[in-house]
Amino acid sequence: MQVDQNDPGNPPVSAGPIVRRRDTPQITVHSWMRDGTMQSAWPGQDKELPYDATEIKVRLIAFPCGSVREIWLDKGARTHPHGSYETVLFYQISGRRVQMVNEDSQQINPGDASFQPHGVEHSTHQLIGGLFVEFAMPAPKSDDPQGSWIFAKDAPLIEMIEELQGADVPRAFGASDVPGTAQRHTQRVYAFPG
Amino acid sequence: MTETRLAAGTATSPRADKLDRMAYVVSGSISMLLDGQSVSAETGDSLYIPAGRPCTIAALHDALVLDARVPRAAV
Repeated sequence: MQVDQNDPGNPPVSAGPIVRRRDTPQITVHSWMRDGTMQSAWPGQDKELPYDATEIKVRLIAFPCGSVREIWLDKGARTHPHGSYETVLFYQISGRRVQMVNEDSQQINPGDASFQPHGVEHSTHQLIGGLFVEFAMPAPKSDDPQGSWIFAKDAPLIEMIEELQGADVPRAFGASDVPGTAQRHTQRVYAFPG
Repeated sequence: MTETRLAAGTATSPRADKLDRMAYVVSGSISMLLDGQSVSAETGDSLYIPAGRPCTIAALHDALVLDARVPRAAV
């Protein structure tokens, strides 16, 4: 994957399998809308902030296949409609917001997820301050991109029961057939188009 | 994208995915075994699991982990 390192939204790509939060500085970005285009000011950029600029606190992590972004918005913060050059999966950790995608909007609560393909217009209005995470990955632009949502309440938790067989082969057993050594965990799967 | 909840002391089975994955620890702490190397991660840490590499995630404390599989067409 080619990452544009001149884009302030792309930090150096991590060489290792882990990037720790404590090693990743939180930066403050401001954004505002002028003449129909979203403007941004990154730390160190010499831009005069207008009164209506929105403050966004972010941690940016880049891996060879894409990026992870931790984004904090205070109550009342808004971002203006904009399209991303990546396809993005959002997951709400805390707080509450209204997410707009194209002409549609939904209230997003903790545990909810949404999908925004490259080029889809989206924006947000934070109702209760909080944190969400984005997984961003490059993707070809669709001629007719559509966003979508999956709400936690509509995506059931599935119990996974796995037992090692031989070296590395996991198996799932029926509830009446579970050895005591089986590993148990639960999963909620969010399946999006593509 | 998958949200996995692990109780302390439990683990996922070793699994190699056909796709690259990015993961994020929403809460708790985990140990990830990848290529025979173990790394620990806690709330807010991010992980990268390359395609084809067996990976196991064990919870050191009750944990919630998100992971996203990156479509091959996207890379």
